[in-house]
Amino acid sequence: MDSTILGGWIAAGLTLFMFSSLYKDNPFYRFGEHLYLGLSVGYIILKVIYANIIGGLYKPLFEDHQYMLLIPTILGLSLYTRFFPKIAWISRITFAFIVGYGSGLTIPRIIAGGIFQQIEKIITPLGKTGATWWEVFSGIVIIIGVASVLIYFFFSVEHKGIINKISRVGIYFVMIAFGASFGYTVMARMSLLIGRSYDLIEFATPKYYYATIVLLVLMVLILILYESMRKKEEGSEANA
Amino acid sequence: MDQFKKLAPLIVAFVMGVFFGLQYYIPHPFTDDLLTGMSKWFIVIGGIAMGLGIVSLFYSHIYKIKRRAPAWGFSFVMFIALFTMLGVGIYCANAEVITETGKQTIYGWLYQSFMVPLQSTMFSILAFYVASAAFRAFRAKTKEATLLLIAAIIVMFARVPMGEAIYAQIPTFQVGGMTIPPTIGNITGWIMKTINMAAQGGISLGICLGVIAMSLKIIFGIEKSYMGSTK
Amino acid sequence: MSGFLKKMSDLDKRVIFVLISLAVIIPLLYPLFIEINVNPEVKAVYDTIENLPNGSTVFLAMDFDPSSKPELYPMAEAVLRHCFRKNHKVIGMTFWVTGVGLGEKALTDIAKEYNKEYGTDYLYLGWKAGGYALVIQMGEEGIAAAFPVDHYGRETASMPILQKITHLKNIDYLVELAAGASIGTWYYYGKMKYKFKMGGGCTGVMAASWYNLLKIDWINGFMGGLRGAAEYEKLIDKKSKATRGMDAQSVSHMLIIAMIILGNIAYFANRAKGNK
Repeated sequence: MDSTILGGWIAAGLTLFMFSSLYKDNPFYRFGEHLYLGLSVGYIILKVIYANIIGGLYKPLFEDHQYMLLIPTILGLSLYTRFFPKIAWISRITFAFIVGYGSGLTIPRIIAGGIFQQIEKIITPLGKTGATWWEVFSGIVIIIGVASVLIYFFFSVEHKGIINKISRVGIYFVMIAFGASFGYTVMARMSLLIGRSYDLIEFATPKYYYATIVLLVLMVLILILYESMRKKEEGSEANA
Repeated sequence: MDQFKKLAPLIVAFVMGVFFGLQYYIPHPFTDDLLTGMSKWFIVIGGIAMGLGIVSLFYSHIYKIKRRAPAWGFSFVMFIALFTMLGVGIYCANAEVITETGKQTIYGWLYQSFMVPLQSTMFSILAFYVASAAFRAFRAKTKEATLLLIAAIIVMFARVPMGEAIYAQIPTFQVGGMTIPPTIGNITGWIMKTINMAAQGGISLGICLGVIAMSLKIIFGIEKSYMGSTK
Repeated sequence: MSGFLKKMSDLDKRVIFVLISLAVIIPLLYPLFIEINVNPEVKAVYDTIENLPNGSTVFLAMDFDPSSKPELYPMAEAVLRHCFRKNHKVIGMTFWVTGVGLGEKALTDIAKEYNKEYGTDYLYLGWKAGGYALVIQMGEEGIAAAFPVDHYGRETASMPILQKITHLKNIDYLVELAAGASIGTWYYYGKMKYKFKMGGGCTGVMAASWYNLLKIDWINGFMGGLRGAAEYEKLIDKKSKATRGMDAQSVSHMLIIAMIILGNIAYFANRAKGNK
């Protein structure tokens, strides 16, 4: 059998296995779940071995003689001491190394790129020469929106009086943004379903010997059998 | 010794954090070289660290099999799949495609026929749950919920060709160089680029401030949760 | 009428599942061919690639995996077709380990369509653990230093494509197709220092937040979700999976809108009845 056809049958079958969870949790879904877990972990292990261990460590260390890389190797291996309670404290040094490095790198970049740049881009459009009245209005709405949202999320000050009024404006901006996000989220989730449906339709064609249809019918029959056997078992247990 | 065990990680985090925080403001070749060197170290540590999750996974499933926990048989499925993928991948030398002929290897076939459908389908199931949740729970009970609902409906309507085609049937008029009513694309565009952008900007600024605060807490040893239990 | 509204409130979720399935499958089988309008943010990405001098280098970061394949894979294909049509050189890589095979397939399939030569016209670096450390190394030491071998295990330093494009600052445009937060990594550790132009594509879930990134000039344009991919397909005049999916998207959205409105009518009607 051609590997493409076989691959199509397997893909259709596994897709239907996962979709069967919409009816009820069942062995097909559990099987698919654990199969995915095993395959993806095996895939990840192989990629790490080839990309990082062989390509990033073995070759530079033994072929290019970059012996300084022994230090991060020891640090990386020390992470595994966390599985041994008596020496687990050694792994904390490596965690501190990683986290301290990351935190140090992050702070100045977020200040420059995340905060200053945002504030600059929010305020400067108002000073643009030749801006239309609509652009000025939109710019003012943006400034009001950003300020009111920031005040809404500032919980160190009690929200009463003028702060409460500004917070309410902030909530309205947030609700509209979340509504827009929800609309886009629906779009995203539907797109994923459309993608799978497209493949299932392709696997239902004569080229793939109607794989989707055959497997769907088989799966429904097996599930009906499984349910009736389970109910019989539950019934006999209840009688006992 | 106990004091050393507690202080050593805090000192390491402090030194690394302060040095690489200041490195950004000292654009000298020495600091740049140190940054590059540390990046190489980080790549090595990152690769080795990926094994931590894998070891935890092995432990939990072996323990499940030992204890004969419910559905323990599926853990065997997991291990068989894992070692099959590993074995096939090593046999194919990590190549999904034979570069000389462009033909797919069995490793690539396993990836395309097993992993891709499984992972894609797992996430596509959410489409059903989002539709069900939208129908059952999305209620205009308050002013805020109504605003959320209206914004969601406008975006869902306007971001699909059918919605644009339906809206385009509404007759338009030119008033002082402006189209009345504006196109649905302009309305949605303004909502996304003004109101949505303002809220996202405010949230983003808040997140940036939060990240800075958390990073400073880590550097100064106030936040220690990354170390796990210190007992 | 009140009986119907009561039934609506208690509707079994499996009925909703069946309706959604039909709303997706029927338009895929019987397309409606509704015209798609192009938005300015998608056109900006297209215009950037279109206006680059022929033979420029585009760095394509395919930071997604099979869980976002329906939205981002068509974007990757469309951008690759555009780049190869303009004879641009493409360097691909990914931060998502389970997405390596997808990026590889997109590059090889589309390169074959345009008879492109590996190593000269395009290169696939694959994946390596490291995240922002990799970006720093690609910027400071060079792309070949960060990836001494490509995805196929071949040495990158001697490849013709990397003779002129040695560091991140040499690339003409970076297109980031993101299913996660990697846009921040590319910006903070890449664009901020090395000043290359950046555009992108994202899943629908993130699209709302990317308008902010557009405003603050992190990116000059982006494609949001399946709709963004369909718009790009229209611009390159090669309609494919994304365009076909938009009809199903339209019908399913209208169904969900109708369900939300009906659900609210049923809720308020039942509440009013309860108050009486």
